[in-house]
Amino acid sequence: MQPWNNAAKIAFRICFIFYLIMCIPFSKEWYDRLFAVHWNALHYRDIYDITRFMPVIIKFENSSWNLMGYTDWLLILAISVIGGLIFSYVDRKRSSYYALNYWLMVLIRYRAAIGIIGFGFLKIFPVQMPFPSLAMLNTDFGQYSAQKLYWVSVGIVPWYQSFAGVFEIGAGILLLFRKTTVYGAILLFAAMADIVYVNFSYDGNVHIYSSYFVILAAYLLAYDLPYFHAFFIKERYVIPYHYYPSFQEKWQQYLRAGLKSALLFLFVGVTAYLQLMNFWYDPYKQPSLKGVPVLRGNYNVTFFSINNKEIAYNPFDTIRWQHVTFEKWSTLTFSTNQPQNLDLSNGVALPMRDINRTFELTGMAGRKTYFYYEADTAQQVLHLHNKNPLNKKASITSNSFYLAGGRKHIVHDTITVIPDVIRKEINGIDERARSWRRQKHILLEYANAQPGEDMTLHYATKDGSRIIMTGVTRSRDSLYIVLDKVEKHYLLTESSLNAGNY
Amino acid sequence: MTANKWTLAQQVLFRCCFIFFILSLLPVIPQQYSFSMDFTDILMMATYRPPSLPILLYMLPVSAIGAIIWIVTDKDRPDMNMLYYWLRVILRYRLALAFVGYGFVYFFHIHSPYPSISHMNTNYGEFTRWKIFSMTLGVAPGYSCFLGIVQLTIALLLLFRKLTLPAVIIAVIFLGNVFLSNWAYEGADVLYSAYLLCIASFLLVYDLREFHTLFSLQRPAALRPVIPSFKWKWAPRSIFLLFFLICAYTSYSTYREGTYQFPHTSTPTGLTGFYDVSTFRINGRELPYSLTDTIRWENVVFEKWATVSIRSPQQNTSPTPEYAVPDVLESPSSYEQTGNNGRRYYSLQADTTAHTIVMQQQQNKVYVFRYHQPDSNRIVLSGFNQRQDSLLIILRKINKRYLLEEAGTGKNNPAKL
Repeated sequence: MQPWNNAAKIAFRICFIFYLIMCIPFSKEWYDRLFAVHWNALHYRDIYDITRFMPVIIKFENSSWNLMGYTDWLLILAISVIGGLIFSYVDRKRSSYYALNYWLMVLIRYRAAIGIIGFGFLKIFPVQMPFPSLAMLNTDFGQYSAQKLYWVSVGIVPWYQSFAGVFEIGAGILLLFRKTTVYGAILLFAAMADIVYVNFSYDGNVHIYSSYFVILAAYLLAYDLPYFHAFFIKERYVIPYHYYPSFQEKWQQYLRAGLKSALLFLFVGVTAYLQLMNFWYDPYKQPSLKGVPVLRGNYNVTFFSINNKEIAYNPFDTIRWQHVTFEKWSTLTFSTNQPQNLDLSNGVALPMRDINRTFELTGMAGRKTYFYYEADTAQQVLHLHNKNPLNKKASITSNSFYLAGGRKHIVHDTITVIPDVIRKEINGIDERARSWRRQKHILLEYANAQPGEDMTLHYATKDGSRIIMTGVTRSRDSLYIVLDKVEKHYLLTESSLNAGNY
Repeated sequence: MTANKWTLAQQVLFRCCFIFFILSLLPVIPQQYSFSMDFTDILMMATYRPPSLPILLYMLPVSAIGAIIWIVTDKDRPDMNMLYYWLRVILRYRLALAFVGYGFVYFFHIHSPYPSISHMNTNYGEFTRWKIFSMTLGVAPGYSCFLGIVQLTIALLLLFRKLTLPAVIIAVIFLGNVFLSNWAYEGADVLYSAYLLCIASFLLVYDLREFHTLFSLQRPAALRPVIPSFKWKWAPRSIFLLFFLICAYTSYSTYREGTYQFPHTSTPTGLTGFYDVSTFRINGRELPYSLTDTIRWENVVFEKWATVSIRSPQQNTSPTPEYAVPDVLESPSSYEQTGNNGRRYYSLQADTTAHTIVMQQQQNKVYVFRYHQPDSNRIVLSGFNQRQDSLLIILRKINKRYLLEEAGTGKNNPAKL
């Protein structure tokens, strides 16, 4: 066993503390979430939240001090340097750290594997980047933000997205076994370095989390790098030295096999099932309930009158509806020439109510108005609720612990009777995709809902080719609208792999 | 294949690969190669293509039969180390050539330009997949540049035998992604990228066993037979580096000249912009704004270069849109109109003294107008279309704000648009 030189020992001690802080969840929120999971009615996000963590120490008001979020890492590095020097003084007699390095690598391998597998499952059944809705297809290219353009450009090729998921999960599984670690680490490093650069270029806001995997993979590769250099570049004979723990006792072997199997079962088996249910019945970025089938499609507004006064078509009119779409889910959109509030977030939040699922409008302009509707097909009535953000910061922060339904008390918990529409929404998706989290979350979102613009419109149609809509808006204006269907032939054709059940 | 004795299977497989790769290097498609310092010529050489798929498929049985004949006639050769070495040299340079051409194209973001005003005002659904891919790359020149650096790095590493393994590891991952993207986005280079991926994988195989032994099994690996040093080894490298510099120079000068993919012509100053068609009169009859009228125009774009694009509802009726696959070499100036519907494109000929403009499609004069600008925001066009209908059109300039540009910095995002 070769002794290490002083530089190597000090570097290792610093890395040891650095990666320990990186790989062990220290935040209370993570543990709160973990203990709030209802294991008998799981939602994929319950598992995903376990797989996704990263040390967060400080966030400055002045955003330039955050160094795009890397300030935390510099602080951790500073702590590690101080800690490493103390460690060096205390443990100055030791000649090498083969064993400790082995265990540190085990920790990093498992941390990286679990994280990337969680990430990959969002793509393998492609829900992370959804295929664009009709309203998105009808929005001009220039009215997308760069970040949105990148995401949607992956969304239009679901099979490619799925392959990216296979790649990430593959890398993760390779990392779980010592003999395949090197392959997993190379794949992880390459894939994540690319994603870091994508996020820098497109303002994507996932640059920190992807950089996180890059530095984890870098450590796993670093140990082998001198051997690589010596053998392949210097062309010298090398004897790689590695420490392996020996599990002599039976119980140790069982424990090891058991832990590994349990991890694989939870993070691959269970997650795959939950994610498939999510893909089939409740793709998390799209509303999950069906829209009225007969209404779906693109429409021209042939006639529009408000308070019995007809308004002729003019692209600059701020009141008259133009270009109406009914999505395959419960969204009605139309455009006017009225500027709209924008939500430029990248949609990390996880709202459960269809009205709050806003991927179809975030990161886009185009002066469209989006309405979520509840339909009464027997009476041919739509109850419409505006989905547009009320102001710039209106996006739902429902990923936070409060709304995620932890054990804490709900601030606005005023629900005594669950209204029928909410009950319908909870039970509206396939039984296999229902979960404790979704139900709790829908109730919370309902209780916390801000009153917005809403209206009730009656619709009359034979086969959807012409729809006549009548009704009164909240401001007591009466509307009479005639819609005629337009068969649009998009160059961008839908894929054979579609999320959701509409 | 590290042992000095080659097994029979290895012999057959190697000879088969050898014949296949050498055959595939031969120029089968007659292409016009000319040696000049012109970017298109240089790029043409750098993106030297393999034969078409049917020909490549024919080559497979030919190589197999060739390998069997070869092994029967020449069975006393115990090892093929030298031949293997030379095949790798050839394939290394072949791969490096491919990376140099596209490397500079990406580095100077030549073939994915920033979207034009017309593109900005075309619905997302009216683009093909490859066009969206190209334009999405076009909005992030930094990313294109990064992809260029990766490719140029691979090319330079491939020039050195000892650095082949790191080069090939990056190349296999990179080309795998290029192949999948081409397939998913219906790009033009599915076969080409698959072919390059085969070469990169073949080069990887040489080191795979040693790599696996050292880093997966974590055991010592035997050293490979030493290749005698080649006296003239600086020669191919120098020739290649010269080509590298020529590529760099021509790509850079193309980049300096302006956008390669758009025409190098110009629209008279003061016309460029996005216009609403506020009045449209045909044979004295005024047509109101309409979403269904196929004669009336909805809006008009004058690009900086001499292109006009017009949007009117009739563009949405074609049930089987033409699906063109891009080729950067064929006619770069057709980039703006291939892969998208929704607008009609015309090339513009303007006479600023006589105040006339002619809008052409494939040498046909579709519209002939006299124009005048009563103020800086309006253009009045009076003239005729091809059927000699008289037209009077008033265009009103719209200072459009695009989220793509306003949200560019990420810090000063607009709240309303």
